[in-house]
Amino acid sequence: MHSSWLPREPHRELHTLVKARSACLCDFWRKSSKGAQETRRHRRVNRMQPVGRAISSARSSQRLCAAALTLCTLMTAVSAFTAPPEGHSGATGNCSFRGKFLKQEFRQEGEPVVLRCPLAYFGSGPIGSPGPHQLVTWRGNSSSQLIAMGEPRVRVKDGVLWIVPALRNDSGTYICSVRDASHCEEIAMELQILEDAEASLPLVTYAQTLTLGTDGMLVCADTLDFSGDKDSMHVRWYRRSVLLGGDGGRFHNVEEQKRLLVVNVSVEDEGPYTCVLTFVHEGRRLNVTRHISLIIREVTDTVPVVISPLDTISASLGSRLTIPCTVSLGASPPESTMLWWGVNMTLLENLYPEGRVTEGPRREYSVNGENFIEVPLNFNPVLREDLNMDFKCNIFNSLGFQTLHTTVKEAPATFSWGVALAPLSLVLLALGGLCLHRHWKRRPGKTYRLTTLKTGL
Amino acid sequence: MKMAVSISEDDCINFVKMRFIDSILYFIPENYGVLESDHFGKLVPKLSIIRNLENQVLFIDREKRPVFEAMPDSDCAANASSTTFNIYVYKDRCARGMAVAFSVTCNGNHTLSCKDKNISFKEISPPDNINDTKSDMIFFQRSVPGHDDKMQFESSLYEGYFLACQEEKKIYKLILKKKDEYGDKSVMFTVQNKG
Repeated sequence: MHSSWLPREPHRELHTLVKARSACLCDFWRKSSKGAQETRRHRRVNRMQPVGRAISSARSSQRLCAAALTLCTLMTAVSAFTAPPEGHSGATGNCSFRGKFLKQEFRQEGEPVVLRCPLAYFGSGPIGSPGPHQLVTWRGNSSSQLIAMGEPRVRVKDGVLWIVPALRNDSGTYICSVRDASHCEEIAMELQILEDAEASLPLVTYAQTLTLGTDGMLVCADTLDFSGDKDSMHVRWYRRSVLLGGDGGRFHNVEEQKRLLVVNVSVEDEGPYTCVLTFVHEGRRLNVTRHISLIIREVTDTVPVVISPLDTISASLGSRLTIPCTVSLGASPPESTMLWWGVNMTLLENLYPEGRVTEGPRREYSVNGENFIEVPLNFNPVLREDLNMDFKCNIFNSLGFQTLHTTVKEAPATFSWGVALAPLSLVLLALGGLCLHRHWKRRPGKTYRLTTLKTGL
Repeated sequence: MKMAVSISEDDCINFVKMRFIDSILYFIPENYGVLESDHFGKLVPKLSIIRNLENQVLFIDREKRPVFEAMPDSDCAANASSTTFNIYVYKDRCARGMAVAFSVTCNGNHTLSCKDKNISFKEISPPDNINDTKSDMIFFQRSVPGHDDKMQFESSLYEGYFLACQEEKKIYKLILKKKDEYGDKSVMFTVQNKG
């Protein structure tokens, strides 16, 4: 892995240094607020670093430069007393090293590459948000040489490193430093420039997912640094080298958003896509290519359908009871659905810490392609107090949630007084009948009188 | 937190019986149903990659801040410990939505928090139980109406405030913001579950 280009080209370095010397004066005047604690290495680098900017600022008056010369001499004298910096990966002077940035930059050769110093990102932290009082500088890992602004291919602009175009030997570690009047921090970034070949594609491909049957957009990924002039920006989308979006079909090029609209996404749309962004950067027309891998996702989540329990469950007091909460998910995968039991306004474990009423293990099964989840509610045993409770089976997935209420009702007792008394009532009936029969036999006149009375009415 | 009072039919406050056992005050209700417990209970987590609508991947950076970056798949996989979030679903007694907490295991456990409306990571695992109806670590996950594959996350602590992605100097940060306009895409995310 090569890490820097500057040291391998002594002539260019010399040339740059000469240019840098002429720019030193005004440059140091501009940066005098950084204080005098910089290391010798940084001093040398700082002379070089702002060549381009310094040249542009060389229009300032000679008087100003004369004042800067005095300051420059003074600061160089101060820097002569500072210790030389240690290794590139450790703390450099008073600049604290923050390690390596998580993201590794993989690019193909011939592409424009932009590295943005991640330390300058944030408003919080010791550095604060990058602003006019902050200076962002870049250097290669094996080189103490700062990357100069005036390089035609590799240059720093507004604290951002541009390599246009990237070559294989640009690969390596780059260290950016952010400093202001009182702080300095630096971080390492890894850049890998890969061969422009099929074999490199897995490392530079961005996965994007669209949903089957819907309309969705692909994004020309990681091109936020290449916005430039909107009018001169063009995006083309390709699939298997065929230009997309021009024929009024299912693909529409939403150029201003750097997106490709895919109407009614189908399974056949899955696979690799390429977007090519063309834009003008400092008078040069540049192309950026991004490889997208489209994955088609099927929305399988449906609103779960509760199969059980019923509104009311009958149970005998003192007995064990299991109430299963069963939901049908259709074709949805069970892992995206949550199901649990609650009681009244709380959770089971709060109300029954002793574990008399508990939630049983979740069971997932499939019948004829239809997925089910079942979570039982176990009573051991059912007590009278359970009859007043509102047991709730809660079902959640990404599409929503539903709650099913159920109550426990006391089941009719197995010992029935009606059944127990049936023989007794039969006996009583028989006895009664017998008595009546005897009574009527002894007093027949009474019947006649009653009859007479009836007819008399 | 247990409520020591219950509201009777005539709107009088009835104090339930209490008892000290081993320095712990127990409430002894006559009817268990009137006691209400504020509670979130943790269920199993799901491993997920969270992206904004620019298809940038959410990750925890070196400074323990949640930010988005465009990442090729290989990069995303190489940094799985920073880009893979555990989404814990919680049981919620209020059943207001899918209550979730986000954690990432990168040099220790970190759980996303919206304390004081600032998004940060707490250096803890998501608690097993949260005895409150609101928590800086709990968000309600809901799908965007009409876009079942896109999710939004409302804070349980600050109602009407959502996780959102905000650009600042070309950097995309995770923030908490009040959702005010319909169809605000900055509060929408895609969640890709890993096996």
